Amino acid sequence: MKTTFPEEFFFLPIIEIQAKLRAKEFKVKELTEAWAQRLEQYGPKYNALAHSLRKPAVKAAKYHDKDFKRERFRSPLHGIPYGAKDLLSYANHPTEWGAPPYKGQKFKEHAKVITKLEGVGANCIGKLAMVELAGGGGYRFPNASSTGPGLNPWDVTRWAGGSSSGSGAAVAAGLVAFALGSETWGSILTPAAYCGVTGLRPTYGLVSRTGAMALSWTMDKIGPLCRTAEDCGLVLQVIAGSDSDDPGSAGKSFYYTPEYVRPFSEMRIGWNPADLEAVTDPAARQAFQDATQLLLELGFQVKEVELPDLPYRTVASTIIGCEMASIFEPLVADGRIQQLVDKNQAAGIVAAIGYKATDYLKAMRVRRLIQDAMAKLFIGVDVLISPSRPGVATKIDEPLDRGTGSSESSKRGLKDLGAAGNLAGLPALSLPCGFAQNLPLGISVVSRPFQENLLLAIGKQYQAQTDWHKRRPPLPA
Amino acid sequence: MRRRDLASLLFVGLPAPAQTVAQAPPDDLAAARQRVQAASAELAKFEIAIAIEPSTVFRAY
Repeated sequence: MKTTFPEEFFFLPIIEIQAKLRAKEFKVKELTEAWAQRLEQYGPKYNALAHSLRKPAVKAAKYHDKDFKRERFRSPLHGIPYGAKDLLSYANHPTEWGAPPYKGQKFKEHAKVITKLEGVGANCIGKLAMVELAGGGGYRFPNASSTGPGLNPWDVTRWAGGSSSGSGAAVAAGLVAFALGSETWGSILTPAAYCGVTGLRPTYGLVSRTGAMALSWTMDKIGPLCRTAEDCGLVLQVIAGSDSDDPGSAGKSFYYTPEYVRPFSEMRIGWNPADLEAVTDPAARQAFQDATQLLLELGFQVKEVELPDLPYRTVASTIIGCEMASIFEPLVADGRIQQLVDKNQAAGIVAAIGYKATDYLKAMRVRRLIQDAMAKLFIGVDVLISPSRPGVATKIDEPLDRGTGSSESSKRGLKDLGAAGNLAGLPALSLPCGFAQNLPLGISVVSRPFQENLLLAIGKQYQAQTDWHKRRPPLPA
Repeated sequence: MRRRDLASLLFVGLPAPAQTVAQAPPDDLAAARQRVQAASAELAKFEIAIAIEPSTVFRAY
């Protein structure tokens, strides 16, 4: 008899789905077909699906069922259906980077992260939509993608965030059990916050980028968007590791062991009230205040901190601009850049070619000072907390340069933590932390390089005391 | 400088980029160029006293 999966099933954390698989409540093939069907049915309603991979996934599921029959369990991800941002190659299937000039593009090999997940039995059921070219040129409207604007499952008149739009929306709507996204500057944390899911930006170099579209070699990171912090840990454990094909690889592995983190009472958490005062929506401000209070009460010693006065945004935009211009120069040279959906993005790439070599080198030198400043800041604290985004998801027809939900404040606080953290290659975890205007909000915890277990331990503890991550958006009509 | 002029400057040695510059409205392109120039100017203002760093190679660890 065919298994019917209730709606709430699609929102279970990985460990619970895995337990049901091992208890033989259903087969991997049934699970895969149900989830692929759901992704195909609802994915287009959020412009979240770039390409379905139902056929190869169902084929793989039959082999996984043989494993389960013999009780050969490969990992907690064995048989679990997931989605990958269309920036990651999936062998012999379209990998179009959300951009019309790359329509029909195929590679012969999987991205390393997909190969690793395949190795432990995770099953990729679809490529998820993204902002074209990961938005490096600077886009003005959320519709800067060949699949249209990423729509937010909580309210389809709102944006899902970018550039990992499909990854955020698909996890939020229960269309995949987890998803892979990428972040150069905000592309995991933003959709995680806007869609109400848990997103982990790993330390630069911890996860291989081989097989991923390069936007900015010294800034790009690949990471998971999941239901829970624990799920992020399970996925990161698989995708992390040394890769000789990625010159940015740190040559390190990751083992998800949050239980071995030092007691919170021995650590200091850094925050700044100016970050909350700057939030303009009173409901959002209250939600951030409550979340901050709860995080501060986990047992940490508390310290008020602020970022040193350094040109974080200018340095980040210069480095991304220069590396992106070098990567996409052929697209400009052969005129295909005209095919991009967002003309601002095209203009941004063309203009970035005008950067001087000395601009890039100066930016890299200042970046070194920023790294040193962040290292110094982390002598006094173990983690920093700050809103992932200062407000709820923007409307899909609203220009993204209109404002973000925060007021211009003379106090620096930690408002540039996004740019600073990405420049210094620091890990960050965005946790769902409440709602305003019926839309989710996210708060970020950031730590030193390779302290992912600490972030995940905090996330796990926070999610044990809250249920924001368990909330589900309504199904689309 | 006209857009075509800039393109020809940028692609010295490459085949003539007849339609090189995106069909961005001129204002968008001008604004994007202004942002590049502003970033360049801000970086130029930022003083690093002396080049004591051994290299600009990036490591997060």
